[in-house]
Amino acid sequence: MKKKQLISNCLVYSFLFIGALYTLFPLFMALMNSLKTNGELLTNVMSLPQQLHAENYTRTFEKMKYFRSLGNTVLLAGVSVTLIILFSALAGWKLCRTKTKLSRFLFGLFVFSMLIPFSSIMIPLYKVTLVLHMKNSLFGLSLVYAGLGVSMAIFLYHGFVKGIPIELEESAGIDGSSSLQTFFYIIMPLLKPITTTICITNVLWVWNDFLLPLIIISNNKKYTLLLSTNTLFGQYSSDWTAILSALILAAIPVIIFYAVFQKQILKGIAEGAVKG
Amino acid sequence: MKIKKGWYALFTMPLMLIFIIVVVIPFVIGIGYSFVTWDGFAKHQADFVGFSNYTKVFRDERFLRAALRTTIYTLFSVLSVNVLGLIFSLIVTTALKVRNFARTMLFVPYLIGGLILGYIWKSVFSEYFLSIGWGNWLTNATRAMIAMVVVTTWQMAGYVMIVYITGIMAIPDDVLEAAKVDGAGYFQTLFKIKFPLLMPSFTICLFLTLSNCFKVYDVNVALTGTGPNYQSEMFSLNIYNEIFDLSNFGYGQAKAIIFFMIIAVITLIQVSITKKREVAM
Repeated sequence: MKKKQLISNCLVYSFLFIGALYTLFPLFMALMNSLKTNGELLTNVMSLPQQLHAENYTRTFEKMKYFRSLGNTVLLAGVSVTLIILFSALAGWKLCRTKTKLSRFLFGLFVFSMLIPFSSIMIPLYKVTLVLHMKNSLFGLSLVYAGLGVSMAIFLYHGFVKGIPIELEESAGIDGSSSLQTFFYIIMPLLKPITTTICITNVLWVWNDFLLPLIIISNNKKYTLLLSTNTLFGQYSSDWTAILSALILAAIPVIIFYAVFQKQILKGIAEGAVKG
Repeated sequence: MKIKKGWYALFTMPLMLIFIIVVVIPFVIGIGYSFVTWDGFAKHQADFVGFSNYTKVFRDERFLRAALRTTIYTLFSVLSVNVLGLIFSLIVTTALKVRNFARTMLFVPYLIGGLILGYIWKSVFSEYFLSIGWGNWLTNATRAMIAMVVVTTWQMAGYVMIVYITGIMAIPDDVLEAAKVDGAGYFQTLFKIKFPLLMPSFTICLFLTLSNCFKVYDVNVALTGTGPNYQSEMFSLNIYNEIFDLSNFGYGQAKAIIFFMIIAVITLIQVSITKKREVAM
């Protein structure tokens, strides 16, 4: 029995080791090679750098306009997610509680729109943003994100509200609270878990989305982190040390975000996936 | 009463306005675009051509190849992502000391966006492989495809792992204990008890990966790009190229509508299966 346990433990650990290697190897290699010179990278990919060439980082840091791009991305994600929550919490709750034809139709419309992949509305959306002068505007872009993101958020809120006993609201109503008061003082606090989930999934979505900013933002002052990283690749087509350092710089904020909100993120992602 | 209605309007009007501008109008216009030929310039004329954009799609060899390629890529990716994710989840739900650390670590790739990780892996498959004498994998069609699957697996295995973990945690302890008392071994428990109870998780993960892989764009752009002779071009990238490189707005939009229908069918099948399962349980 003990021997069997030992073998299975060995198996588990060796598999975990392979998994760890698979997961961390490219990241580690990127970090390691970003600190070499190009010549060193070409001749000796696998070795540790002989000297740490941090100037790769200072070079790309400036080229990427790192803080500006980071600020743009933070602003974009922040505004988008706030809009999504603001719009969809009330709508999700109201749509769940009103049982009219209109509310069923609207809910159906939101659910249907979840089927539309972004590529399918990319062009007309691009044209619409041109007409409305939303091109090259970070606020315009966050409105677009809000429009694209509300369906899923409404769907999640709708599902969550179903599980909240309606008696709570009714008794609040009897006590003289208006329905908007009921929403903000009674419902909103109860929605907190699902709000966290929606926040996290949407922050990650906006943060890591590339295609939409690519077509909407062309002014490099408004570039997001991904856009400014992407332009670097055009300029340094085979300068891998520069590219790798840019990649590391671009990945750092998400890693920090994850380090801080690890528990919420893991929980939020799981719930977002299961309920969506 | 009137004041209340006004309050609601304050919140719902902007919502509906944005939703209509960003989703409804583009969707409707998009269907319109798919029936014309147009190069995207406002001053140039758009000619109505009926369904000819749609019939043209089925004779477009570059597109058909991209569609077939995407399907093959999706099948392999879905399989490897789920197998690996499931194994990971089974490992990190055992009584290992390092399980929390392992869980945290295995999820990291999912957080890093497709574009960044695509480029990170590009350095692996082109530069590193070249320098250790394996040649550049991304210039060979088959190897580039393998690279796509490897990177997708890397990105998403941790994600489905999280979903499987939720499923495994939901299995009641007494069921597992009863199996143990009855003398079931590890694999018997796994196949006869855990897997059937994990069915809802399987459905979720399969379709999540299915539709995500089918829509792949970022990783495709970053890792392989279109590739020589369009050898690595996937569905989404093909649509993008048709529109922004070749300026065939109408034709590209017809492809986009077909793309929408495929995704819709996949998703609807998912929903109906999930619903059925819910009733059965």
